[in-house]
Amino acid sequence: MKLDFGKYRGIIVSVALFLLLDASVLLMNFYISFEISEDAVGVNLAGRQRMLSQRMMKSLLDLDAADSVEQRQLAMAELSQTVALFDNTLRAFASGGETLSAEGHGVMLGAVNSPAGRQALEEAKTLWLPFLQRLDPLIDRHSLGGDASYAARLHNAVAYGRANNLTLLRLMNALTVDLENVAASKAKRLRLIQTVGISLAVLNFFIIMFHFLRQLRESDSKIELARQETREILDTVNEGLFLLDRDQHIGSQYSHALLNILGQRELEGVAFAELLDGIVSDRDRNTAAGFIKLLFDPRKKQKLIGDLNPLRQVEVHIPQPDGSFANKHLSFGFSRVVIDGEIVHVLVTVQDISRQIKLADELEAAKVQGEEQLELLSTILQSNGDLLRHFLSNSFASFQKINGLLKQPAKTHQQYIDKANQIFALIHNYKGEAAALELHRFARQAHQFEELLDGLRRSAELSGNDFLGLVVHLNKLIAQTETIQGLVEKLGTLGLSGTSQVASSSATYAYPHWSLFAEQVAERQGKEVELLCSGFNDVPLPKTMEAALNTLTVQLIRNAISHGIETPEQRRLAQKPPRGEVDVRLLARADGSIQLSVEDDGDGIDRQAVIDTAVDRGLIDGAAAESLDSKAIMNLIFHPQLSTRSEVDEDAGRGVGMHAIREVVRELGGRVTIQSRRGRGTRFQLFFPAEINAVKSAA
Amino acid sequence: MTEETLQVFIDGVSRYFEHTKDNDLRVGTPYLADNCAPVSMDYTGLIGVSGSNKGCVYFTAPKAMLRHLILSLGEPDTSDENMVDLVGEVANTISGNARRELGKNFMISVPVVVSGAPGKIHLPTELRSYVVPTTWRSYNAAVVICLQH
Repeated sequence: MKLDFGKYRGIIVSVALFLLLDASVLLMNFYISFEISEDAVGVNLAGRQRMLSQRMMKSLLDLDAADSVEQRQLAMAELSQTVALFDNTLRAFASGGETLSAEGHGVMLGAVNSPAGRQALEEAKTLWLPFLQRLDPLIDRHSLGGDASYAARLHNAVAYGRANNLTLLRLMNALTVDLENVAASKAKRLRLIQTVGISLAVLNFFIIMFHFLRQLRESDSKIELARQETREILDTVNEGLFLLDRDQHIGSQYSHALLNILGQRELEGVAFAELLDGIVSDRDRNTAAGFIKLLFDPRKKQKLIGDLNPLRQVEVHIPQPDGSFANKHLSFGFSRVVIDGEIVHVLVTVQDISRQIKLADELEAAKVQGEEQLELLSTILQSNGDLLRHFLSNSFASFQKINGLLKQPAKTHQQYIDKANQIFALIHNYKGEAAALELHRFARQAHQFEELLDGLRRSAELSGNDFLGLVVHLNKLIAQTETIQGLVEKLGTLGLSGTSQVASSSATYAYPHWSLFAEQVAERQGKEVELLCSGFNDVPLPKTMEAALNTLTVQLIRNAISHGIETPEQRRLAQKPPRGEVDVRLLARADGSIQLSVEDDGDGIDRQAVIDTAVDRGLIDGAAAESLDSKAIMNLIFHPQLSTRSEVDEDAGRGVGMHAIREVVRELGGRVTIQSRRGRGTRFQLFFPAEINAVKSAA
Repeated sequence: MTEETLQVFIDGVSRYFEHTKDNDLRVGTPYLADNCAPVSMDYTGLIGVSGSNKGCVYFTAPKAMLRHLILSLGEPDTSDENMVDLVGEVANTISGNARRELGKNFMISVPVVVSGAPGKIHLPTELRSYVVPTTWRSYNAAVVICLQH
């Protein structure tokens, strides 16, 4: 890491100053102590001068008082030594030079500079030079000792010495004191320098301390503030934020939201791959690792590799404490963090986009549903509200019956076939009603349902599992019927369409939809037909009866057109008007019983065709067919697998129509009769007892 | 929800019974049930499903059947704990089969075993569930599938 000198300049200068001060004090200390030690030598030698002045005088007096040659020689030697040493030392003090130390080594002395010292030296010189002049001849003539001139010179020297000895001692003392004073002043200066130096160093130390402590504190608080801000951001931001290092490990700082999004507790140092483990597919996880590796490669352009991000929109499944999974859609974003041109981290942002995805899905679903509903809505708006409600309640009843049939346990193949046949009858009626109301979507679905059932009925071996597709289809039908019911209810509250409630009496009951239905069936089959209805508005009926009659009438009208009425061409050949007639009548008898008759002027029932079909389908064998009477032949018509139509279409062909009719009539406790004349037409008559009507109405 | 998806769950149960001595688990005619009154017997092994299809799938069976099944597996101990374990295992087999067959869009949770009253099973009431009755020997059990699409 590069050191930022600018930031630390203050502290570096301060520390350097501190060291410089210490070094200066040390240097001064050396220098002055050296001077002081030199001064000490001076002081010592000055002290010796005092002593020498007295020894010199003593030797002189000894010489004067000497009785023997030995004594004289001793005194002379002493005198000569002391004089030489004194003189030499005095000169050295006066103008600098070498002298002998107490130990006899040569020692250099600097000239004394202090005024008092100089003065003492000048005075001493003034005294000393005449003294030396008097002493020198004594010492030189020493060998000549004993003559009169010698005695006179000695006397002269002693006299001078006596007269000036004390003055010389005083002067040497003054020199000593002066030199001592100089040394003391130097020591004092040294102390002062040390004190000042150390004080400055201490001051500097405190400056460093206070200044930098304050700076440290300030930067600490700045860091703390920045950290606090970062924390606040990370705690508040809604996205998951974290850094990945080159090894793809999560850094120590990450947003709080990340924990919530991923349902984790601790993420510091966790490998990114580990984070994704189990919540995304292995393929996505591996691609993500490769993608992040590319992001750390400075040669790759981020813009170019951005599209490779496999986690841009990813569905994750996060395990929950209860063992279940929370499903989320997440969006991971990756950006390089570049410092000084180097990619140091990859910043990862994680957004929970479940809501957006859900909204988009819902929007799409709503769009599809809206289109479906619009289609249904237009149908509803065109329908008679009352009829539609009938249809819906009938439908639910039928579905419930179908489900009830499914629920009934069955073991043998025949039981399953019976189940399929019964369901067929119900769904066939439903289909008829849907078609009559022009609810083509439902009619189509019922037709598909019939196809499934037909497949089942043809199976050689049936089991419960084979009905699975049927149940799924049933569920779909129920769901759609619920949708249309919801719409009808909504429209009812809006007062739209004919959906407002009417009294249960059918005084205003109208059947325009039958005419429409008849026309549609006829058109599909290339026929022309006129439907004549009468009696329906004259007979008061309970709702349930109305619904049943509607189902039956629709079925019979369809049968009459599909099986009875001929094409216009055939009718012309048979000398009939091209337009066929279907006459539908409802009668109430005095005893309260009801009679529904549906009569057509078509071709009538082809008994031989019925017998042939029954034999073909294996319903009866050829021998039995021979002995069938008219009633038995008519009975065959009600068999669930008989239809004389050669093709199966939306209107007929599976032979279930009559079977379905008889099932409904039987359920109501009624009976069916058929009258048919070949080439003239067919009349179906349905009789319902009064008590059934009464019981039903009471219910 | 498709027929194929339902079949996967039914196959899961059949697969479990393949390992029993009497492997003739007979599947009855499926039907629809209102979720207000869920089908439930003595023990129910339930797995939660999340992902594009949300909801749950469960196998529910009477005690008598489970007791018999335990014995037929060669285990003499027919305690309640073993029954719970057994139902859990069936649920586990269902979930394992579903994971394998249906892939990652079906996130299936760890099975939970519920015993006793049917009130303990809560299903979304606006939906209907598919009930697939099953018969093993003379005992009736059921696989119930309730998934939102």
